[in-house]
Amino acid sequence: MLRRLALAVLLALLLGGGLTDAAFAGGPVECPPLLPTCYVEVEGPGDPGTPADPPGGGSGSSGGSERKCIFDWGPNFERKEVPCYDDFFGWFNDESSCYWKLTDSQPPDDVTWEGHYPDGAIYDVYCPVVFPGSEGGRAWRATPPPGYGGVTITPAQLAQRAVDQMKLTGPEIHMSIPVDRFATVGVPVWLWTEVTATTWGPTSATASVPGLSVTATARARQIVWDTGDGRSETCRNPGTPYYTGRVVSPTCQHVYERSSADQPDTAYRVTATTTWDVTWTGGGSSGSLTVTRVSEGSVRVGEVQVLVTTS
Amino acid sequence: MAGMLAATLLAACSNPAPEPTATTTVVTPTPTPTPTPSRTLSVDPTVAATEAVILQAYQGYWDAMVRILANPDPFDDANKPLWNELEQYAVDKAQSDLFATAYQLSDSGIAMKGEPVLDPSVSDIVIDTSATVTDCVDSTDWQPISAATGESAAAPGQATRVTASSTLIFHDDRWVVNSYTPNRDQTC
Repeated sequence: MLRRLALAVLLALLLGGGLTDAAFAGGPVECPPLLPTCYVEVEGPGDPGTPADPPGGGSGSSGGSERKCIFDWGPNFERKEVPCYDDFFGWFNDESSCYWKLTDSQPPDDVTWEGHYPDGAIYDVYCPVVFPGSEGGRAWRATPPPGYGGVTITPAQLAQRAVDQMKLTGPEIHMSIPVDRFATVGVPVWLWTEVTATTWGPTSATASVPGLSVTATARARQIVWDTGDGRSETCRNPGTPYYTGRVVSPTCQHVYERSSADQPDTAYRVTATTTWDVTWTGGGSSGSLTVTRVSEGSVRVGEVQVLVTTS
Repeated sequence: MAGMLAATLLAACSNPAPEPTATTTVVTPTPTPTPTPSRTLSVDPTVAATEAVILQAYQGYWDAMVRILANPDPFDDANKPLWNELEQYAVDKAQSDLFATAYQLSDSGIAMKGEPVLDPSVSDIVIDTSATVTDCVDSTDWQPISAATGESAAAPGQATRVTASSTLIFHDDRWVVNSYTPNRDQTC
């Protein structure tokens, strides 16, 4: 189940072609390193190697509060969840997909030191599948391998760190009325933000600690424009920059009904809140979260005084 | 392909395993000033004792392996005493390869049932350093059994007796198996 084509080929080589293709009909043939006998894997309901889903069944949308360790050897292999730590075999290392444990005695005469003694340490490395380049056995390292001693941060916490790295902001507020001019009661004020990675997205970032890495992607969902007059506009778009020759914004605008003359500073305070949807994946789990970012601005609204003169 | 297989089998039949004791060679780590050559067919007591200790370690490795692979899940706490026992007899690849073997069997829902018949012999002894054990493993009664069906999962057409080679090293004041490799294409 674990290995597919690669092993069939390997077995064919090992047995010098002694097995006919018909022998493979029952399923993939496995030849673990120490067995004198290869066996045919029969897939059945009792097979514990069902991929993907964690044993606890926590595949919910907000899952991933804990680190998961996935045994992943590339496209020809099935991904399996394995324990991140075992008393005997040590800590799972995501990079090598092997378990690493500090060798108890650290014997100075062990050839594994390769002259480094007493720098670094020697480890016993246990790989679930053995092939050239990843055999397991004793190994020397100057520093502990990724994931060693456990990763105390959870993927969800690391996702939050990735979000921080993105430096998401609220909208870069623009309105069709320059700040030094007055908007007019009854005339639409266009509302928009400059579209950048940090004001509208999409944007992504990766946060890592040794043994764990999480990538988060953020997309703005909407901007709620609190226009300061007791009302608000919700726009599921960044808005449209104002251009002359048009009165009504095709996407996002607000029409003031009263002058801002009685407001502090004679201006309406505009508070624009962007809601960001963030999805993240890493450490064998994934999840989503929502963050908001706020910007502020102001707009002065005046009434057009129509002077009617009668003669 | 068939011709090649036949040739292999023929070679295997006409070429029986070497007599274990007769080929035992001894290499001492430092040249000894004795007039008798260090390579000898008459086994001196030290070497005989060392050989016995080496075979004990090899047998200890196998005993632990057979019991571990009878219930191979490496993460099962119930198996931890066996792995601790294994550490008395094995280091390096001999240990990590057993982990891989156990993991793969467990992952496939298969356990090794029964016991193999071994026929080990020691050679290349370097006192307090290293030695080689060659073996002929008879797996007639040591078979991969599917937990689901209770039936043998052995791939068809395989030899039941194959050679195996192992290196042991003198490590932490004792002899331990450093590596063990079955040669599935070498019958004996």
